[in-house]
Amino acid sequence: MKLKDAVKLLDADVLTPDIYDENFEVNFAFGSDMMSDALMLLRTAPDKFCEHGILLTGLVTRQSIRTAEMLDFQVVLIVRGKTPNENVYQAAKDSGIVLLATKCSMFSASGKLYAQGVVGITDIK
Amino acid sequence: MEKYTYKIISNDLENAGCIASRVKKMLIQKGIDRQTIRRVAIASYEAEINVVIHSYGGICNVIIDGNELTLEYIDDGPGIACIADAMKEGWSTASKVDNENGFGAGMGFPNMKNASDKLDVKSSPDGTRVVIHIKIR
Repeated sequence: MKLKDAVKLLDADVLTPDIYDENFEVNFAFGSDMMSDALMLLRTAPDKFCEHGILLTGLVTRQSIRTAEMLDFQVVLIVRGKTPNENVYQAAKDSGIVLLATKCSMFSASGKLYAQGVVGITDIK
Repeated sequence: MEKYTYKIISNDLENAGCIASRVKKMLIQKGIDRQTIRRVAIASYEAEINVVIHSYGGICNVIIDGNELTLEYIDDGPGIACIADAMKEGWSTASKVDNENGFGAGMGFPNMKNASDKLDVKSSPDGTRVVIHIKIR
């Protein structure tokens, strides 16, 4: 799906409008508040997974951005209505990572995306 | 042979991962394949985080010699009580603050091991030395 459709679906705020590409294709997603879990499970993910995936997290520190950067995610979605501080916005912009925020819980955001065809790492054969 | 040395500051969670980011960017510039870069990024990030959250601080040496990449992390203690425990998935001594920053899943060393071709860990109360070897393909 296009990123603009995901934003609409989740009623998300785009926190890095300067680097937001509304037509960017997102087909995959991974959700975790523990960054080591993301690093472990996505170590051998196909390139396309992270490059066209969304990292969903309730972690609003720079480490969510850093983890996304290490894994080549282009989009991070902050869930549960949390607000990152200016340093996190800047880190995202510096790394070319689009930062979104939604009031949805991790479960609800994941379910809404999944219902639209966005799949997780364990769904890839 | 190329060698780069970086300082790692204890508890500096704001900048934790900066070295891994620099190393990743350097490897991208060298045109190294993406899977290798991802393995280096994961191993170096986990190792750097460990030094930041568990040690009194230390250094990171990045050595590129032909198709061998070596990441060496040397810290000033207090050491790992039991390396075998630290290698177990899910085993962690991270603090509440570390958890709030997304760490303490107990996957640090398992991630480093899985992402590397060879991992050496030596530790005493005076410090820990972690050496990660990754072949550049």
